[in-house]
Parts: sequence; structure tokens; C-alpha cells
Amino acid sequence: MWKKPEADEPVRPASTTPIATPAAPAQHSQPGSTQRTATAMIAPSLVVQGEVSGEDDLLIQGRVEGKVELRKSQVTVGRQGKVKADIVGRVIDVEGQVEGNLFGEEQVILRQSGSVRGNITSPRVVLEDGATFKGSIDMEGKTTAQRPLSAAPAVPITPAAGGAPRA
Amino acid sequence: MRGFFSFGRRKGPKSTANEPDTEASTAASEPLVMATGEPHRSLALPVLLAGLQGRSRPEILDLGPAQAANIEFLSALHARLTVEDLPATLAAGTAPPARLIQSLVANPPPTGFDTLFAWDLFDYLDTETLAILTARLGEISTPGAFLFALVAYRAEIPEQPQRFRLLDEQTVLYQPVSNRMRSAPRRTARDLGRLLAGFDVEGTYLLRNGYHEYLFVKR
Repeated sequence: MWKKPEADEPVRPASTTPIATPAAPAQHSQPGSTQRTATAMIAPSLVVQGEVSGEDDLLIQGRVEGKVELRKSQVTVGRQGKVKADIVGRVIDVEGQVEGNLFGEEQVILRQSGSVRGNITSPRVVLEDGATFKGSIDMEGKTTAQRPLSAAPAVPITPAAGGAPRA
Repeated sequence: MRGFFSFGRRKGPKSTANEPDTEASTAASEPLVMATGEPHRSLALPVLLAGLQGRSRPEILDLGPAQAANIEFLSALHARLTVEDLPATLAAGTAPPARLIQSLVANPPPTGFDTLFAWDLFDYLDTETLAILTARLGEISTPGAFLFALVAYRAEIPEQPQRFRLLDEQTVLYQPVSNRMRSAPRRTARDLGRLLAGFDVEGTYLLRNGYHEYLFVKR
């Protein structure tokens, strides 16, 4: 099992805490993500099998198999990242490949280059065009008011051939 | 691939250059999803949505690819949405279509789906495969569930299933993936009624764009 050390040092907003290769962290501004923490990274050459947990934000560019649980942090699966694991995070941002279930406390973002096979549970799910997704999306916590539905204007017609166009 | 009409392949190229009346022919290049699409008024969608009004947290199955607009739209219904992208699954061809369809949605909701969006997929399946699909859809849907499908009555359809976006309660954007065309099976309501055992035709709606919208209801 691979467990990241607890983040007991002061927050350093402008720096990263590389686990392996130093690299720039993902720089996506997320609505609602006002809290900044250091960003740890799993480098492209690393393979992690087991559970990843902690409190720092995490950028995954390598491979992870097992479980990722950073409930208070942002988890970013970078373009090079390949994850076969359930991910729990405050914000989950996917640019790479994920096979597993995603539980986002605030939101889950699936970028254009991202691919997810699994179920997403989060109050807010953002999916960019071009992203690949297969699974279910549960937005139970979403507070968006239900859209008022207009009354059905159409009258069903009998399925007779050659009828005049209706719309 | 048997059971699935040449998905994702170039077969029997039919230039659309001489068919300006088809929607797909307006696109200049292929493949990928055309940047633009044609919005069309839907007559079945308002009926379907009105039917969902009384249901809390409806379970919705989308057989097409994930679309941001659809997720956003359906989230307003407080729905739980399952995206299967069956065209991609069948095109990948990892197993015979019948087997892929029989394993469609490995873990359906215990109560079954309340709404199923098949879009234009029926036009791309042969009769045998379509019967297997509709049988599977019957297994995983709840009595009273709606099944929304588009079936072409025009002679030709895009070579591959289109992408569809729910723009609002009565507008759907059609986005062809290819500008190549193929002949449409042009199944009638009677054909579909026979194939969709376990479903009744709630309504059919003739659109000017060459498609019939069908709204089926699970018995």
C-alpha cells in the first residue's frame, strides 16, 4: 500500500510537492475551490498499486490501481494518467483515463481528452464535448431547481404512411 | 459486422454532393462530429418530459454517447442518468452484437429505467439484432417507462448514427458524424410494433426532417 504522508506543513500556494518527477501541477481554476493546498504528483513513470490518501491536492500522471481517497482535496488525472481505481475527492478533474467510480464532494469535471468508464456521483458534473464516458451519473445533491416544463404542444398522430409533415 | 450496419467503416461510398436536400450533405468534411448541427423541433420530447414530471429521481438510460448538453438538461430533472454509448460499443466489435446487447447495462437500477433514449439507433440495426435489443430494453425498464426513438422515413440516412443534443424542452440538435449516406431501412410502425414486444406505441410524430419520432411505453 502506498500512503502519502500527512500534509502537516504550512500551505505553500505557489509550490508543488513532487512525489517523483517535478512537474507543473494542473492549473484549472475551479469554481468553489477557494482553498489552496500543495499539489503532490504521481509522475508518468510511476505505478502505484494500493490506496492513495492524504490531504494535499494530487495530480496523477502515472498509473494508479486500487483506491484514491482525498476527500478534502482536488484530484486531477492528467493527460498521461491512467487510473483503475475508485476516486474520492472534493473536486475530481479528469484529463486522462479512469476505470472506476468517481465520488466528487463538490464536482467532477471530465475534460475533452478524458475518458471514464464507471459511475459518477457528485452534486455537479461537467462534461466537455469530446470526452468519453460510459456509466451512470448521479447528481442527487444538486440544488438546481427543476426546469419548468412547457405543456406538451403536440398531438400524437396515427402512424399512417404518407402523412403531411407536422414539424 | 453482422447485426450492425457497417458502423464506423467506409462502405459503398455515396457522395452527398448531389443530394443537397439531405442535412448531412451540408457539412464540408468528415469524420468526427460535425461542428454544427441542425436543430429540430421535437414533438415527442414534451410528451415524454410531461410524463416524467411526477416521478422523483427518474432513472434515464441514454444509448447514445455522453453529451454535455444532455447531462446538463437531464440533471434539472434530478435524474440518475446512465450513458451506454451503444454505437461505440458495437463498433468496437469486441464480441458479437447479440452478446454485447444482452450484457447491456450490467447493473440496471433495481426499479428499472423510467426513460430510455434510443435516438436513431434502430435504423442501424438489422431486424434480428433490433429484436434482441428491444428485448433487453424491456428487461431493464419499468412498466410505464418511455422509449424515445427516431426512425427515418426518408430514403437515406447518415452512414453512422448521429449525435443528439437536448437544447430545450422541445428542441433537439441533430449532429451527423459523417457526411456519407446510406439507405434507410424505412421500418413502419407496424414493423416496429412487432419488434418491440413488451412496448406499446404511445405516439408517433412525423417531422419535416425525414424522421418519425416514436414514443413507446413499456407495458
